[in-house]
Amino acid sequence: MRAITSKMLRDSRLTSMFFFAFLLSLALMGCEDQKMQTVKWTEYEPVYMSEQEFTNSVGMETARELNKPGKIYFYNDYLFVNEVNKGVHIIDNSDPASPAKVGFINIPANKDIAVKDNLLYADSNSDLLVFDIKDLQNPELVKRVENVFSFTANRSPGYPYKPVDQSKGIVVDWEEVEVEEVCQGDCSYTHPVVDGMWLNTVGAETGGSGGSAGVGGSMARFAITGDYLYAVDDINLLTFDISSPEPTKVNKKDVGWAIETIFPYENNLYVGSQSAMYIFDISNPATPSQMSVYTHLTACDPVVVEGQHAFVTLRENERCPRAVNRLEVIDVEDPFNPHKVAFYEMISPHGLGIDDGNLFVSEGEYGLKVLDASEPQDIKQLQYIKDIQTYDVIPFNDVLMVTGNNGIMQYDYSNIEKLRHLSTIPVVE
Amino acid sequence: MIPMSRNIGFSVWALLVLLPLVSSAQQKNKVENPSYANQVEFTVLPGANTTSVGIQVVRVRRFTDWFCGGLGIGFTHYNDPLDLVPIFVNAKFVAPGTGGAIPFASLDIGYSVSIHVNDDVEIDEHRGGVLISPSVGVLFKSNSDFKYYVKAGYNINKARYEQPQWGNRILETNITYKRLLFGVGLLF
Repeated sequence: MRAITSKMLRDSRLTSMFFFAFLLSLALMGCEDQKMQTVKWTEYEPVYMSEQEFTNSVGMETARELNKPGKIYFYNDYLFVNEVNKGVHIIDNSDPASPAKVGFINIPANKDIAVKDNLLYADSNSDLLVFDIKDLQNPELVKRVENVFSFTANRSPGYPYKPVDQSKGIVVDWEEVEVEEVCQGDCSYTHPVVDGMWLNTVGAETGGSGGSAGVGGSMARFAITGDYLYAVDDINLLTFDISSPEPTKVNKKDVGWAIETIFPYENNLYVGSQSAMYIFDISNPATPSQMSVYTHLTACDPVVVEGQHAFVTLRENERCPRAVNRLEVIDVEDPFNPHKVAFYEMISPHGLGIDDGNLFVSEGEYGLKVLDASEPQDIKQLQYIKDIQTYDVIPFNDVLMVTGNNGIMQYDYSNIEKLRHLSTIPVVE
Repeated sequence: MIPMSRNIGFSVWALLVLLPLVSSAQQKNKVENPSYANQVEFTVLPGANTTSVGIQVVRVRRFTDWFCGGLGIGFTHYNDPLDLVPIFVNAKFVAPGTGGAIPFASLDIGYSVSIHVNDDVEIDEHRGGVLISPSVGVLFKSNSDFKYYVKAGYNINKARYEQPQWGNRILETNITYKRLLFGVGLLF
């Protein structure tokens, strides 16, 4: 047994005193738990442009990659693809198996397009632009009609968003940014958004009427029939006389709220909104007159029509929460008395297209459905392509043009039960 | 998200696994390696607004007459909304002597693994953090192979978790637990 020496006692006392002092100093740091909170979120922030830059930046540029494709339009073997808020890609699609990019028309705040008689109509913020595209290598801006649209890039595509500061210029786009707020203790509950409104940034031209007009998809806000361009913004149906290269607004009609799409068929316009489908008579094309309203559950909805039936997809999303996801078939033989005759459950239906009873429904991230709608009250699924993302479709002459987050895909649907993939123009991040 | 019953079960399981191991080691130690010992400790951690409790086991080795070291694992019930499982290195400085009450100083340093126990609080991710726990105490010897001790100290433990908020907001919370520590333990 070792003897305990005085040195050992002193050492142990010193050690204990040291640790006691150490503990005391730590205790003086406090016995209150410290909490630091950080709130992170992404929000949309406006991208501004000066008025001069906004006007002067319109013009033809070299072809670029697809980044955020929006609405598509097919005209004379050319695909016109909207790059949301940026402009229009021009693609030579004379061989759908090998589409070739021709160029890019830079149009700030552009979302919608339509083409007739070698004139391309495009929106740019609240203005309507007209391009002469006889020479697609060198499209020429021939007319700007200012302040005709009330749907502008001032409205954020999503929620939450940073409010617009008009003193900074014209809003031409929105970008998603990550925001952080750090605070000691509990973060205060701040709302970066006062209110939000949604702008339908997606959509393709619906059309096909007017012999020299092109063909669009079901999500469009522009439609050409005869010598008239019809456009919808959130609440209005606007009518433009385009019999000359200088379009003239001839009519403006308050339709309702949350108007989203337009589809012309024979002598009628079918206007889709979040709560209803409106049918207008355009036998007097300069002054559309409302014939009826078919109301449905609140949902985001495009519409196409063939024969005596309208096909409407209803979709639930952030803009239309608590909605349903389904395809509805409406009998419109009597446009004054439209009524539902069938509905079919879907997953996440977006745009749709129909050609001679063959119905194509975009299911968003869940792919594409090919349906036999020759008997609208007994629609049968022929094929389901799952591994693609789809937003809208244009079926035309056995070529199905599909737009989605992956890019533009094209299929041969001459054998309707087995689509053959022709080409993909990919999106490049 | 692990239910609380499983968290408690995990801790009990850890203790039940370790205790027989250390007991058998103790048996071995009696014959082969008398410098090893086992420690079981119960702690109370009072804070400014709440009090937590914990338990830990340590496998201790005596290196010299005045220094012991070991590896330990424990469980601290903060329920805020996380509980922590500290895994640590223990260093103990023991005053030499043969008396019945021997002072010592102890330091635990390690890392605490987090467990989400409060199902009422939705958490996307969580993570533990560093543990630092100095203390001083008195070790009481007895005639049997068991010794007990009491100690007082300070405990710092970190943890972090993320919670979904409305829209796409994520709330990240970084907590540093700063508590006094009072413990009683058994050495055998």
